Amino acid sequence: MRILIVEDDDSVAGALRAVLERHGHATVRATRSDDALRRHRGADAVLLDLGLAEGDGFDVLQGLRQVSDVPVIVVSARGDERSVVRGLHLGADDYLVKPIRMSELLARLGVVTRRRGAQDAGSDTGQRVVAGDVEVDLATRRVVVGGAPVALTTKEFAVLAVLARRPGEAVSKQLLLDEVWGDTSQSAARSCDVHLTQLRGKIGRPGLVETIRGYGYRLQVD
Amino acid sequence: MRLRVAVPLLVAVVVALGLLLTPLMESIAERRTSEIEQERRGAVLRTADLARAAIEDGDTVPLQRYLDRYHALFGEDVVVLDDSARVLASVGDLDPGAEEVLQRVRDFGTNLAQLDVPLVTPWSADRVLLSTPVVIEQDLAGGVVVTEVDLRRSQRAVLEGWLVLLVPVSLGLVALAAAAVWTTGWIVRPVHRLDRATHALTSGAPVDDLTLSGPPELRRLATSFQLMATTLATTVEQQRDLVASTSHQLRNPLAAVRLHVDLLAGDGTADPGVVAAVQRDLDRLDTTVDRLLGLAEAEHRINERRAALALREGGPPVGGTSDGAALETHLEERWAPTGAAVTATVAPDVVLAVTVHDLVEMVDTAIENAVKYAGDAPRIHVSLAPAATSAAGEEPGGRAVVTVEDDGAGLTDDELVRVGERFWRSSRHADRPGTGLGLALVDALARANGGTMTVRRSAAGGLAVELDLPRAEGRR
Repeated sequence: MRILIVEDDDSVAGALRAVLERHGHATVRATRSDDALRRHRGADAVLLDLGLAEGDGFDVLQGLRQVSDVPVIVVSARGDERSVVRGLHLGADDYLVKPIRMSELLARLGVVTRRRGAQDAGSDTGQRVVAGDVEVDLATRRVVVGGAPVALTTKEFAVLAVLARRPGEAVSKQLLLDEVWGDTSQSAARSCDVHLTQLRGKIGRPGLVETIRGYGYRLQVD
Repeated sequence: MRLRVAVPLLVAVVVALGLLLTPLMESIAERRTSEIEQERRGAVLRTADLARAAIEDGDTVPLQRYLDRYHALFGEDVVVLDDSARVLASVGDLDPGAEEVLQRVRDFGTNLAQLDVPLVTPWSADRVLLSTPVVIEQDLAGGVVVTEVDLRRSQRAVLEGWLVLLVPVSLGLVALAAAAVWTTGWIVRPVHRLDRATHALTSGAPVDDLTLSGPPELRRLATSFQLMATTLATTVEQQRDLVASTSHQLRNPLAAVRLHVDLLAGDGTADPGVVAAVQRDLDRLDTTVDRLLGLAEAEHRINERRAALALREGGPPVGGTSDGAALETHLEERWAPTGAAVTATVAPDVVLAVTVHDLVEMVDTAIENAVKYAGDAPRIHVSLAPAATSAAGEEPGGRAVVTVEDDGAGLTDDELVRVGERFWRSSRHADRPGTGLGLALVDALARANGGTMTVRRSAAGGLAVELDLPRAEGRR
């Protein structure tokens, strides 16, 4: 893949390039926000640093989102809740706080680009999603944990399905409420919390559904 | 403020003027009254003389002539009656049969002259009857002269006299009132502007220039205020920038190193033992940087809060809230997979004025601390309950207590005193990994949220970290 690295710190950019090129990706680097907006064409994914010397990373993100739906992963030194939530709300596909481990970077990159590929192909991303020893079959609405089937209510399965269709991605709570309940009121949000708690209890794999505070949830697949 | 200054001043002036003017006005009225009294009395007595002559001589012509002249001069009515109430002479249309006139006729037997004019004021009666008996021989009345005096001209004269006095005084009063209102406004306006600026400052809006008008003392105060506001804003701003750039400067090299070391590890060229050692130290560095930045961030928020509190009338800025359910959910997610024995009891109705993010950060850090230092497989209990006693100045039930306690080895008394200092670690734990920043961070976060942290010995003999936090009353 061709990956655009928007990063003003030379050594970080160098390390990212080394890692990505070692794993067979081509890289392009931009250090300034205007470069980033010029060079995103032809990139399969963008790694975006927020603390740019010229301009603000959030502006780049907004600018990118206005003209393109290329997958964007924010890779930032800012780990505060406000920045994470803002980044995801502005349309980043994922948000990683430095320092990141190589394996994590590659896994997240794989998730966001796979999803885009699937969307371009116009197909549903697989009828079966496997996360550890949990299998979710979206077609037959069956869930198997450690080889044993688990009985879920319609609502519980609906919640799980929304997450399973986007394995490994950050899914906003708004989207979840919208797809399952059809409204985003306080009462729907509370109902959602209850169903999630029951769902986690039945599956018995803590950490399968990860909470992203202030934003939403993620189904862990690796 | 304006009214409080202007009203008492004006009331005092009006009262003083009233005390000064009333006697003056009275004397004007008295002077006019005695003037008209003197004039008419003379005329009435002269008429009585003529009437006596007329009665004695039996000739009423001079009397009638005199009365006609009098009427032409003053336009007032006179009637002269003899002792049997017959009209001797009269001019004008004073009715001799009127009750008032007959009263005078009855009175003349007692020789009563009624020649006093009551005090003339603009609202007194505009006519008055004067009468005097016509004395013929010693103490024997042979008739009565009754005249009706028209007081309207005197009243007008009194009114004019009063107006000459009152108009300038009223104009002066109006001028004084205007001056008082303007002056108090001049003093109060900068005060109001200061107040508005304070609110603007605490809500982060731009503050307009304050040093424009008002008394010099207030202008100086406004200048000092502006200086303080600017300094405060700058300090907080600088600190925010420092935290941001520090995290940038620390995390960037660390990120680069991590990626390179991961590459090395994947190469198979480097000695795996060395790589593992480097990874371990990188992990430590990672944790320390996270904690340090968390601490700096929390300290910065404490200052922001202080700045806001110093300038704000109300409480601290309203942030998010959290409750027991959120805490339980999080504990389940975060700690159940690790196998640590974490249990929780939460009061259902307590809502904290602390964001979920901060609450779980504090609780997690305290639990990590227990997991690390409380010995093998400690039992950790987290509880959330309303505070038993409320702090001074808070309405009862305005606070809640979150406690994280373990049944581990605990600390000695000397160590309990030092816990929470930055980079302090018990010497008995020197062999374990740790930064010595954990509880310092919990303490800073608690203070940033308007709370406090205390560390004591738990009932089970281990350590109890107690967080006293504000509740969000009435907001769920």
